Amino acid sequence: MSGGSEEGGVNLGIIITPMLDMAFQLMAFFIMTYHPSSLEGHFDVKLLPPKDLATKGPADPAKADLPPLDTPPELQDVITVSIKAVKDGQTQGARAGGDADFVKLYIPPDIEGKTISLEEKENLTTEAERQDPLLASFEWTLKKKLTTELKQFLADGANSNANIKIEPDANLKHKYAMSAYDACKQAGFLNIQFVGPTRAR
Amino acid sequence: MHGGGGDSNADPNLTPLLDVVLQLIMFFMITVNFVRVDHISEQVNLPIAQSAVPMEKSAEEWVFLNINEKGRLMGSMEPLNAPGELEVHLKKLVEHLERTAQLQGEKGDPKIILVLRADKDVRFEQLWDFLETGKRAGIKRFQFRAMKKQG
Repeated sequence: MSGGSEEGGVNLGIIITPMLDMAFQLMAFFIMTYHPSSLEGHFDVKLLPPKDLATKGPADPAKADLPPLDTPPELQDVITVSIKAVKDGQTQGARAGGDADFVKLYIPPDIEGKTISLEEKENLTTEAERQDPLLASFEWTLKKKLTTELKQFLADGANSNANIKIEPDANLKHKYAMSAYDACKQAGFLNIQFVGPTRAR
Repeated sequence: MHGGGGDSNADPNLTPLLDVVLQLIMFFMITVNFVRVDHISEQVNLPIAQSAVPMEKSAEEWVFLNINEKGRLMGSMEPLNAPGELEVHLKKLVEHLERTAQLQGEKGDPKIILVLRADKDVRFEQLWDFLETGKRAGIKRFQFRAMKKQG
């Protein structure tokens, strides 16, 4: 890689070796930084068998893999989000088997539960919103409605350390369980557990 | 490296040596990255969860399960679709990691995380079966993967 003079003459040839070197380095850099899953995120899943939370809060909060609490969670702190699925082979409105039918929200001491219907979608005002497949989807409707309910519950003085158990139907599609989890997180709750699927009733 | 001529030029030419070293470093870095990407099956259509946190790069042991909309394993785990195969595989992996940890004098359970990259349309019942399988194999930590926004 010498560009100097040889025996009085001047070598004007283009030296491509360092250029090639740099090109290889740049190529390697771009190959390395390209990562198809850069938009991907994760969250830790806490699992509980159905009967554990149905009867009482965690026996020993120190061992329950939960953040430390001032007071142990009591039964009245356990909020249940039960997501019912449209049964296989059936159609409810625009939804078929496996899609969410409705959400039943049990906030103690109300044992009757509140039904969140997905029949009416939220108001999408602009044409761009109506064309957006995510905003027009039922999982988005589920998330928005559930977030509103849970935020209201917190505004009424509920403890954000309260346990929430998400109880999806067995044949519910995964995306609806994720929407419910997202709603709980965005409402501000910290302790969210999934419980085993409730078999079709 | 030549040392000829009338004047003795004893300086070694380091340029080709440096080139080779840099290429080797690049090779190993790229290879490591390819192994990570290999865990991800692009055929899986992840659900969207805006509260999902960015992936962390820790030194823990990850086991990736790519699950399609029919509840079947995809990618490198595809041969383990037969009943019981996955549990046997996970148990062997947990035992191997426990032995390795013991040999290295580490205390406590090995930090294995079972990562479920499940399709948005897979039924929750099928997903739960994978979680139960992981629990039976001795895994205690689980993660769901989701897209933070529409890809």
